[in-house]
Amino acid sequence: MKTPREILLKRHPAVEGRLDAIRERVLAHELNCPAPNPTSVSPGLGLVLLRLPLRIWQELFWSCRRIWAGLAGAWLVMIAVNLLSLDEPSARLKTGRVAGQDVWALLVERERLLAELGETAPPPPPPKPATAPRPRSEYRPANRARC
Amino acid sequence: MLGVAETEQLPVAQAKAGDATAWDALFRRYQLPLYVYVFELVHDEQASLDFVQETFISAVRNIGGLRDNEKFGSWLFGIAHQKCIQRWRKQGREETLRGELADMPVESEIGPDDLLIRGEQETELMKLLNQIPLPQRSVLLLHFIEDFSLEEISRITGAQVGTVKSRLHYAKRALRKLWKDKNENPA
Repeated sequence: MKTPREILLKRHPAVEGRLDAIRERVLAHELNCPAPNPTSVSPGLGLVLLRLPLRIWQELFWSCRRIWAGLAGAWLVMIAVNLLSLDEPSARLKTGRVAGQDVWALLVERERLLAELGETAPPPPPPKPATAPRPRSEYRPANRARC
Repeated sequence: MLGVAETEQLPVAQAKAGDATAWDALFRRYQLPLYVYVFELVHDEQASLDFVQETFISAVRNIGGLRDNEKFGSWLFGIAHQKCIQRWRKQGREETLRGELADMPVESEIGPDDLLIRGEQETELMKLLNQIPLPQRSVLLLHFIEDFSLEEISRITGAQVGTVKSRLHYAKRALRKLWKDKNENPA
């Protein structure tokens, strides 16, 4: 013989697992914060304050998690592209460094050649003497004719 | 007579302080009775599970509003009952639920355990229970499942104590009559 309570409660054995899952889900979502200190603040206010970050997380982020995941993915792609594009200037820098070394070697070589040429070349011609002014007497007849 | 919930010490104060272990104990204690109550009213497994989940969430968020810790059980059932009313309101069945019955003379009090049922009669009991109108069934279920007092059932359903009393009387009488008819005229 059973009481109505026993009959009612034993009619749903299959649902107990799902109820356990619901209980665990609610506990995880609603109470994943440390217990408030009831002596410092009133329990209601304390709970509200402690749950505020959780509420913000749930309302702002968790509710539109797919959008946030999409945005995060887009940012990751952008960062990856940016990193890949950063590799090119470094390569360019490398080649630039190689080119600079070549130019430096050419300059050194040219200087060496110039130095060799300087040793074998004839001495530079002496500077031309400045033209001496004509004597004043050469101007005189003309000056005289004008007069 | 003490109700089912009143015979045990529940960690409501700890739950109010945000203790997850206390909440776990409370939910473990009430998850099946709450589900049974909701299921026997809505007859929809998924909706009943959703209501239980919503009730738990509301309980955690609004525990600060519970004044008397000893009334946690009826308070929790009250939340679930409101969820059922909202569902009926959407389905246009509010009139049915809120249908008032004329107050009837109350017979001698019969406890929920006074009605003992043999194994082969269990299915019959459930069939008969579902034939009782919703307002009376709701009261009878609260009486059967948790042995809530008239005042507690009144708080849960939002009906006057006198109305609860007459509904319970009507439900028991209807059940007894259906039971008698069934036994006298077995199909």
